[in-house]
Amino acid sequence: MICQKFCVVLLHWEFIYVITASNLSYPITPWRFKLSCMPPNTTYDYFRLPAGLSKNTSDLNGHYETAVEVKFNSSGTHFSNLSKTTFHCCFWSEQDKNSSLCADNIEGKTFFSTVNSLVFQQIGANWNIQCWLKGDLKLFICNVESLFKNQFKNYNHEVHLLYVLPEVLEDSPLVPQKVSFQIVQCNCSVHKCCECLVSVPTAKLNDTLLMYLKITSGGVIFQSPLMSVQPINVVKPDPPLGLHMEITDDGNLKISWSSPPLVRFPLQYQVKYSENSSTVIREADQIASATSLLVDSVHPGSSYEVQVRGKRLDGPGIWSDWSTPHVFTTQDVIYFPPKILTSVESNVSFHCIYKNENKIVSSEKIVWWMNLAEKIPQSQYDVVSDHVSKVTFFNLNATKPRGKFTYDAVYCCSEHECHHRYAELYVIDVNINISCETDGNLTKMTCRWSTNTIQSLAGSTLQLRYYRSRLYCSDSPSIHPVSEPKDCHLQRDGFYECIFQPIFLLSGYTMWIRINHSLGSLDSPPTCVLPNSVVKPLPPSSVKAEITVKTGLLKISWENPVFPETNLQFQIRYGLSGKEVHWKIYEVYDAKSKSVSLPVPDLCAIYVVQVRCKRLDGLGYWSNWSSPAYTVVMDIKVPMRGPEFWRIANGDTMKKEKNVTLLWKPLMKRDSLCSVQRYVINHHTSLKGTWSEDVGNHTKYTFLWTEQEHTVTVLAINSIGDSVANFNLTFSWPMSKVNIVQSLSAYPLNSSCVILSWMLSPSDYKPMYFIIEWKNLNEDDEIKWLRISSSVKKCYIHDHFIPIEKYQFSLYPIFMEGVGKPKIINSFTQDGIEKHQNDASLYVIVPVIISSFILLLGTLFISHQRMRKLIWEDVPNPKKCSWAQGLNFQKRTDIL
Amino acid sequence: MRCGCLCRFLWLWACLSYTQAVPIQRVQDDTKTLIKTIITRINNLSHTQSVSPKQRITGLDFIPGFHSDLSFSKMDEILAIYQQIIISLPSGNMIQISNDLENLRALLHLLAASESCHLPWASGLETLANLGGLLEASLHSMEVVALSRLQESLQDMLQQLDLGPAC
Repeated sequence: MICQKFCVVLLHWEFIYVITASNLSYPITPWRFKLSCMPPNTTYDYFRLPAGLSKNTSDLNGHYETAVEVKFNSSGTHFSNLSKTTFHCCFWSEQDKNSSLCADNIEGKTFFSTVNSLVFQQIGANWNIQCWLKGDLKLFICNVESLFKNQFKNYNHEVHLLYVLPEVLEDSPLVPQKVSFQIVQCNCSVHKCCECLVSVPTAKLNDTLLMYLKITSGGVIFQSPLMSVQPINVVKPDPPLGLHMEITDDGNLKISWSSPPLVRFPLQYQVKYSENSSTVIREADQIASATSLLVDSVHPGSSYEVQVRGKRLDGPGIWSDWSTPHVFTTQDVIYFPPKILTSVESNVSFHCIYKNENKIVSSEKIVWWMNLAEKIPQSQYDVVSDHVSKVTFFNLNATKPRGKFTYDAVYCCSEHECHHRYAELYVIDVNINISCETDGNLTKMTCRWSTNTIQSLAGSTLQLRYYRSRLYCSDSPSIHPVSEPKDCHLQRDGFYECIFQPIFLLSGYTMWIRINHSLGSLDSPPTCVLPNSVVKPLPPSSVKAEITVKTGLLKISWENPVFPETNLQFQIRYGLSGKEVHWKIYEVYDAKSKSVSLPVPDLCAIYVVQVRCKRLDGLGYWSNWSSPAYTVVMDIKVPMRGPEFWRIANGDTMKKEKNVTLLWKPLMKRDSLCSVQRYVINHHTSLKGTWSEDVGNHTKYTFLWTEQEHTVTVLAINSIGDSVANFNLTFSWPMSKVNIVQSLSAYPLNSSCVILSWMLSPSDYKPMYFIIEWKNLNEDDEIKWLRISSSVKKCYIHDHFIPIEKYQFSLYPIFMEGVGKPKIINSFTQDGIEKHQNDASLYVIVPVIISSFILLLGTLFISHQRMRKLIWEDVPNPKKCSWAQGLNFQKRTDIL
Repeated sequence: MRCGCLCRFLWLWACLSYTQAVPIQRVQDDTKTLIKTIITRINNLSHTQSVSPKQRITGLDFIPGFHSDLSFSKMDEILAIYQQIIISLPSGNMIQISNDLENLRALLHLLAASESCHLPWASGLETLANLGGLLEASLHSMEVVALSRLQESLQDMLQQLDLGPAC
């Protein structure tokens, strides 16, 4: 009894401090706090300990709870009576046991007092409350957990949170009216836990949020005192994600994680890890915003379990929940780093700790092998510590792929045993050449690079990165810490192409290729390009080509491209137009030159010409060749000579008048330069003088030769003028009798060639030249002729000769005074013919001759016999004739 | 004050390091070539050729015009204003011309530094803040006059460079 009174007195004493200020509220703590309620009207009854209960305060646990339970269970009417009671509710916290806040209701008095929390714990209806602001800074959450064990489980249990937003408070800063409070119904689960959600505008995170709880359970309404909080002070982020552990290159255990998503403020983290069974908690205070922690002395064959949680770095906040535990087991052999990606000519090192049969191998006994085939020399080993061995590779060559293995396997072994695990060494040749070209308009730079020269590494990506300096390139370009990536596109030819547009003409673009891989990244040697130095100009325009009149040179002219403004050199290529042009190159180094004239062998041919240009200082590239320009064939000069011509004289040789037909061959282009518009015949006779006749384009002309001498000249005329050098022919009766050709022989070589040779007799007349004329006598072909120099004694005539045909060959000596007497032969020379005739008649004539000879012999023989018979018939037989006896008739017989 | 001195020293050091690497003759040649390039670029814009030199355009006095005696600092100041104007013009190739102007300014600073003249970087006109409204109202006039005057200014600079401009 005394004890009960003492408690009541204590309670009254504790509520001495009546605070009349209506805005007094319980400041929500980052940690969990409690709400305890008890009905004051019946408090004394309930605080009086029931009979039989121990007066020891430790025995008071659950007294009120038990009492309420008894009340609830006794009758339904009592329940209604209890609902009318006014409850005293107080906030208190185990962390801050000296402070609590109590109130009758929201409009009533609020007490701020120091309460022995044990009292509430023992005699009140209790709830655990924790409030926080979610990491996204949008949602304020209060979690209300009932500490009743089972009395409300069969009754309706509702929790409401009534809050007032700061902007409402601003209207009435001192006394928030009941109507100002907004109400939120909390979501309650069957496990006595309710969650109240309040949306908080971002702009109000630093303002004070006032609220209280109204808990209805089994018809009893419990109303908490006012709570206040600045939402930003109770931020509780989500637990960190992506927990990961790895052994660093230095042999430490690196625990890393990522911050939870949607966190807009820096966090600090707490890491809890255990190695095998021993648990260690380590805070990452020194690296508050870092998302990793290094744990040294990692051991092979061990298991590490890690959890991380986060809290706002600046200002108060609530620790997040612990992340899901992550377990990492180290192998019996630890390589650090386990994999190395490096470039050629670099030096790298591997470390290893080797545990063999539960015993860590001494580093001095560790040996290193490469690909299980090659023992690495001991000179490359280093003893780092008792258990850590190091091997170093110097000046590495690119890894040669062995089948699907694109790495070298590095093994850490004891003297006679290697663990099956190995480290991987990837050595890549990163010498990638980047070449750039600025377009002719100086607005775009295209850079190209190929990966054909380097070994492709599965899972790697390539990226061109660049840094632009304000002006020019440095002598030794280096990789700048601040760089930008550039999009490059793979072309059909296997090159990547990246376009810079617009460009800074005189800024140095330092570029390199970054090979990104999960093992790390490698950079190719940087190269610096000045767009102005890699210009490929547009080709020269308005290219024209012509053969100049009179000078007869190939003149090429062009216009410079608009850019660049620097001096240019030019290259000209030209050749005879055709299917396959054999180009000749001519170079022009005079930047001001815009045309050039070149000698060409054939003035009357079509030439094709192209021009290209490049900076005179040699920087940049040659432009493309210009569009081809073609020369037009036109008259360049007057014809070099008139046509060679001959005549056919018709009519009676005895008559004084003859029709003479002149024949000539059309002039070739090289002689006519380059065309003949018409031919003109110049006549000269002693009587008529000189006159001309235009015969147009004909190549035959007939005139009447009437006088003793008649000289004709045939001129070729083009658009420039008359031919300069012309042939004359004088027809002279007296000269036609001058014979200086002693002999003429024609020897057929084959069916297409005949050799004609002649001999001249001594004479006072010297021929200017000869005309050889020939024709087939069996056909009415036109005569053919050839002009031969006077110094020649024989010539080859190429024609189609038929051996059995008859040909007439004539050799005319042409004197200054006129045409001489010709030597004419009508057949080939005998020596030459005999063989052919023999060939033709051998098998006909010889039998005839032989037959004739035999017949002749027969005839003679028969004639002889007949003669003897006739003569000796008249001669008496001496043997029978007396006068003939004694005569020697034998001699006569011999005579006969 | 100390920061300013330090900046000046750094700029001088940067300039000198470039000067050592790049012969000053080349810088001069590049400057003239770049000026000619910009002039040609403007020539290639068809609409700028129709400007009559006899007609005076009012209301665009903030666009720099003829200057008889151009110093390095004046050139930089003029180019800064033009760069400010050009970059706001919507026609094609303006970014390229603006880039060229930036290069040109850097070359002028380098040339000035070679003559122990340390120029501060001109920042253009503050009054050009409402350039957008002016552009909206009279885009054609703005573009034609700006490009035309820029061309003239560049010609002036080209001549002045031969004479050796003052600091």
